[in-house]
Amino acid sequence: MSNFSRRDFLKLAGLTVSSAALAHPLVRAAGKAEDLSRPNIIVLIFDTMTASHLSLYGYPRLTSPNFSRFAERSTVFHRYNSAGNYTVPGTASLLTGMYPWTHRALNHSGLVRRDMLDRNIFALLGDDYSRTGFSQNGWASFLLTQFRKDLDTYLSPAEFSLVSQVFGDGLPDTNLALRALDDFMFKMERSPSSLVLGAIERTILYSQARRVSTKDYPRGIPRTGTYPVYFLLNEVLADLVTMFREQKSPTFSYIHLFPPHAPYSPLRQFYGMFWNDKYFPPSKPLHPLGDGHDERKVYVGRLSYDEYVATVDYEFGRFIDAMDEAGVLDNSYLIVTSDHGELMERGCKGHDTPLLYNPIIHCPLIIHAPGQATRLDIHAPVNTVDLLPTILNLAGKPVPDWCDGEILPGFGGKEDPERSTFSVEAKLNPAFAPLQTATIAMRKGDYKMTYYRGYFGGGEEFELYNHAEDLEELTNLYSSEKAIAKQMKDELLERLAEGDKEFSKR
Amino acid sequence: MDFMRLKAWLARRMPTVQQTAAVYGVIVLAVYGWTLYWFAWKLPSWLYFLTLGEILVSLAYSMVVNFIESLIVLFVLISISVLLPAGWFRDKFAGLGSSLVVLSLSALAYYLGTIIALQDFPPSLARSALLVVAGILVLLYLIGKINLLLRAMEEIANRSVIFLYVFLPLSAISFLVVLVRNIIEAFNV
Repeated sequence: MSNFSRRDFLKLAGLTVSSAALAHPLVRAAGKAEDLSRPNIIVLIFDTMTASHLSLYGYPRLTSPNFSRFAERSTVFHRYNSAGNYTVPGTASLLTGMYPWTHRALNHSGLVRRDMLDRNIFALLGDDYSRTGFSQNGWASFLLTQFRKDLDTYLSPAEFSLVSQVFGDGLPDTNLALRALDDFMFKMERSPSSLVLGAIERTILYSQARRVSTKDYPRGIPRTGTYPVYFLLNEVLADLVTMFREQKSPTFSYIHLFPPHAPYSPLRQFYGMFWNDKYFPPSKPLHPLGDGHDERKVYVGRLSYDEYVATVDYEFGRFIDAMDEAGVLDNSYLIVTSDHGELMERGCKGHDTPLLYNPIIHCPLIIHAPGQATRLDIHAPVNTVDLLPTILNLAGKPVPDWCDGEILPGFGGKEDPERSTFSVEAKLNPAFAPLQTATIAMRKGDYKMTYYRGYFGGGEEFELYNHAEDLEELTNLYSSEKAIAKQMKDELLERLAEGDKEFSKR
Repeated sequence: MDFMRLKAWLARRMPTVQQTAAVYGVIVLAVYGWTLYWFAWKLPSWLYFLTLGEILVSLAYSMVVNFIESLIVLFVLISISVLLPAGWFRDKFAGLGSSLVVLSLSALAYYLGTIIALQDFPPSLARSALLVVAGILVLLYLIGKINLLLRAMEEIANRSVIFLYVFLPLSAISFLVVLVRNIIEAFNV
């Protein structure tokens, strides 16, 4: 009895509480036996968080002291790129371990190929793990609902929120019900397609949202973009700690939080904190495929984004403290990352763009292993597609041969500085056709090549940058470094043709 | 006995089946038409990544919602007919009812086009809504008084009955599709 630790007590308490969860219609994990020999794995996504704006990764503004604190006992990946530049391809690549040209979740609210639905992390982990999926981002939720039969617990985007109206998740046919009802009939951000009930729904939501105090949030309380979900990040994170504490080991949790995605809603204490800091990023020319915003507008957008990142960092610090206190990190891998970054330069303010410059694909990746007390820095290039094989390896499962990724260095994989990784943008391209309108970035060693296909009046363009000398991507070396350009171009086009092969035949 | 009296009272105050069908045709045209307009707007993007089956199922969900909406509007109109003196509304149900549907749903469509997010709700919304309601009532009064307009609306309503033959069977099929899919998925999950 003297060996009965606080951690054991928390687990016992969790066992008791989780048995009560049997009553929850969306939970079917509670009947599983606990196996303490396997670690829990938690993937925590902060949507739209670029590594390029985190002080942890060298950003001049102090935006992430708490991420830095967490990094001191974690493995930090410095050259982690997302496989896409917005939620759909980035999240789908994380969950499937495949590049977008294979899984084909390319378009706004797009989906993974229906004949590849068994290729997902939840299915591969199998019944040994109790698997939970939660996303506040509606488009990531579509992907989770595609894999719902492989999830033990599917949490609605409205879970943990203050005010919300999401209808489709209440039906067993969640994927199409969400799309038809919440993404079409009662869609926010434009007129609802439901003339009568849409008006009633919007009025009720308005009256509910008005009752929520915004005194701590000068720009309004945080909300998601796709669905009308209003929430307080501290409350969401506190509820998550409770959930993790009460889950029976081993668990795999995919948690996709909306902040710091726009609309940027910083806490009052971070509002305006960078207004007079005299930091001005390097001036970059407008890109013809950018949004055309002038430099001042982009700078103001950057200020707002940085304030929200600082808010997220503050809440993340409290979350980590609570996780420590609850003993969750003693037996859990915590993988903190993002689905894509944000671009505040070249006339862009956001990430709805065909561009693939560094800030939009360079994401944080910080992994804390159970009991890890020191920091490890990895500088080899890695990609979103590497998370699936790494998680499988941590769980003691084999990595399937169709997977595009490799096990991450530090977690069973080897550092390969010359490895090629890819990021794909093709939101204007039909999912079931060869990529004719797309941007593809390839990282190899210090170099990054970007290939624009179908833009610029249907033509093609290449850019080549050396990140060792020019991380800001200001000098295009495509014409001057011909040998490297040719080698990378050939490899990129070959990989693209391979991804397109099946669709080119049709 | 009381129930029989209530039934008889309701029968006296309710519009005829023909008039009700005519007005319901206008409701169905407006409610389903609005959704189909947005469906046409959304379709090109859906064709990029959804299969035809998925698109049709999404449409089925929409039609089920439309059916519920159309019944709500019809219920409101019949309630008005029952509550108001027969000479005011019930006797001219087809003309005035369909006018009320067109005017009020047009106003609603206008509002929904302007208020696309919660922050767009104007502070003066309640006051302007009252003005719009007053305007609709004035227009209804005029339509009721100008025989030509009333007859025109009745003719439109009578011709709108054709839409019931199109959309109601589609709604029934849609309801079945939604029901069956959810039953199947409930067993799959």
